[in-house]
Amino acid sequence: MVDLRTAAAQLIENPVVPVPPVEGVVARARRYRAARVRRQAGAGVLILALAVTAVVRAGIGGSGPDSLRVVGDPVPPEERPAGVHVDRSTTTTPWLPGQSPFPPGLDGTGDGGWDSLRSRGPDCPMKVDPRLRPVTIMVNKDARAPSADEVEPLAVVKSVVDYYNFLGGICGRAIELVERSLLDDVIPKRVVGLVGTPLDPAFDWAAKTKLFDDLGLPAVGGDGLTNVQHESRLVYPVGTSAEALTRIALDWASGRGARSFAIVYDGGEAFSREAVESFHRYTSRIGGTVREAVDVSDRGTEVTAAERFRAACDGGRCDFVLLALRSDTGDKWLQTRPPTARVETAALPTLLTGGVPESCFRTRNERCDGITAWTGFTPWFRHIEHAQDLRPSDLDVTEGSALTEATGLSARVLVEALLQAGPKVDRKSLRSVLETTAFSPAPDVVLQWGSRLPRAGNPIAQRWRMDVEGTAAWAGDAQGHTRTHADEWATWTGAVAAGAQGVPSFAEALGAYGQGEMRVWVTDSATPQWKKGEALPSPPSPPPSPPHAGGPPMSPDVHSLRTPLPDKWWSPEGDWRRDPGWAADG
Amino acid sequence: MGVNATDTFEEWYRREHPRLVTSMLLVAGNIHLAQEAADEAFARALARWDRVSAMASPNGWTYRVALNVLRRRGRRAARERELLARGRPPDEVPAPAGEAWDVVRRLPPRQRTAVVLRYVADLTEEQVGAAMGVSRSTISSALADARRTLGRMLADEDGKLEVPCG
Repeated sequence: MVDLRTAAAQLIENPVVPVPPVEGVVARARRYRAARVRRQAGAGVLILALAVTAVVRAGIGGSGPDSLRVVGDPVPPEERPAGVHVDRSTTTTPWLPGQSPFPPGLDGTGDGGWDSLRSRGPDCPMKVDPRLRPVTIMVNKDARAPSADEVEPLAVVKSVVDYYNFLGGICGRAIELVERSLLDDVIPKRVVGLVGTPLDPAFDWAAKTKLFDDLGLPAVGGDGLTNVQHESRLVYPVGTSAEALTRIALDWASGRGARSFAIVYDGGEAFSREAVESFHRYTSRIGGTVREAVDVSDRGTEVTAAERFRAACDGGRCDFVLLALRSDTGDKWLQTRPPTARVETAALPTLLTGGVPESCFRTRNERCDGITAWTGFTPWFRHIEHAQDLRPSDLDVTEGSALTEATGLSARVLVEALLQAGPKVDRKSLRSVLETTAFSPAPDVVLQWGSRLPRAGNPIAQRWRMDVEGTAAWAGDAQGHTRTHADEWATWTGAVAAGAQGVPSFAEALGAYGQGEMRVWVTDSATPQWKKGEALPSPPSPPPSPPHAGGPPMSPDVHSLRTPLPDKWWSPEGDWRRDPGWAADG
Repeated sequence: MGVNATDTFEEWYRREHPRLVTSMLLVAGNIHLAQEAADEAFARALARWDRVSAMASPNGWTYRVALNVLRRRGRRAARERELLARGRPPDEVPAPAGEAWDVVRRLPPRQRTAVVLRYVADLTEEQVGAAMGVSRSTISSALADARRTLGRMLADEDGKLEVPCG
């Protein structure tokens, strides 16, 4: 018999290599520090040099869209690259200089609430001044993006930063985006805020180990899926937790007659483990029967997991199935052609990508048809062209990736908060803004955190459904917007957005996360400020339904109450879900 | 085990270096990668010693950094080997304890890392979880799975394994 501990002790007593002198470590640490200082100094010199270069080039005819442009570099309008576009119609509308890139309702001129740009005072310059010190925000360099289809966090954040710099930065101060490792690097003091990137274990680690608290560094976003993101005082998640989404999905299904439930999860992913815990708790609470709970990360048992699932759910024996999987894992699972649930198969937002329906369509996988995904935020970025390596050019960011949109929204909220804090923003003033402001990315959708814990800033969920079609139609989105694609794709259709009738319920839901303490809020399109204690206004009347704009008939499950956009259609039937987990027992 | 109140960096370094290098060697199977990961982790710990020494688990933090370095450098080394059409270099493990570690090396990567950090690095399950970026319950499961996998017999709580002869 071999005693592992004894064997370990023997190894330690007889080291493989002698312990090197500590002087070597000291020298290495010095080099490490010096390299960091050089990088910071070099970045500053580079920005300054390129700013000067751009000014000179502007004077002699422009640099052209392919030239390297550093975030914060002022760009004359005629040189503006094909950067951020926002779909307003069936064709992509180029963003012309001087034209608002926001669709009606999101440009601060009507409903929508993104009005910070207008709220900067008359002394606030609307153009970046390279003489001013930039405002620095950060993303985690370690953020993993295992597949481009799943998430392109850095590209999206860069697009947002580029966009706001084009509009003048923070009162003339350019926004500087830096990448640092949360695990390994010392975070520069000049960093005032961080944009959390999705599916980033380092972000969760930093929240859990109170790194953000230690540094007093507000972190907006992450994917909001794991509970640790909602339990940190310095993290402001824009997404809904996997735990809450699971409850919402189960609640929705049980309301439609589901009584037997199953879940497919990945024990290697924190959000998935929390989903399955929530799944068991809530099915028990509603008196449902758990037919099966399979862990696809159980190595060596992959076939067994599919077989177990088939044995439990074949023949419609499972009313509702939840897929708490990442997109690549979920895609592989769907390729095993698992039995479909009688009421619904639903997924967390990790499955809500462009690649999953594409894979379903190309493999003619009828098992994908009708699968839904729940996501906790209203997509606002319809179509963007992102800059690769800061070179403004080409490619589409994955459309319809819920996590990509979450990242865009996170970046947007952070920058809007910087604008609210003003040109002398620091970590403390940024935090103060985030604690006291309600952000409205869309009519009737509010992100708000306050001082309570957990910070369920966004307790609602929307439901998207995948329809595997053999036609050339791309039908619908959160705005009920339509367009056509030449390719034949499966599509994610429809959305369930928060309704105007839900305004009092928002307060209830928010109050529930304050453990019973009711909070009321006031928001209007001019100044989205939360004023604690004020009476709730009357909910706005829903806008009238426009005539059907044509295209394939909408499913009755598709609802939208967003501000009308061209070529939009919608169903007047409103529906939304809020997290039922807050309801007190009894 | 962590940083004692009176420890200087040098004392902690000398005490932990053999354990860290051995752990990384068992995880990666390559002495050069293991040394590189250990050196980098200690250098970074020294660069921020004030913060690291005050942590609840400085060892956990250091192992986390070392594992990340290992992962990054290991990927690069694997690509280089592919490009140069070289085979995987032989593992370098001291012969006396080779039998046990031969068996451990056959574990899947996560289970192997968990076993090494638990028994060689002598971290608690919680510290192992923090170093690997997973929850404690995942580590408990991984260790249990490792015992089963290795076990063609059960492991008792002291981590003893019976490796069949022949």
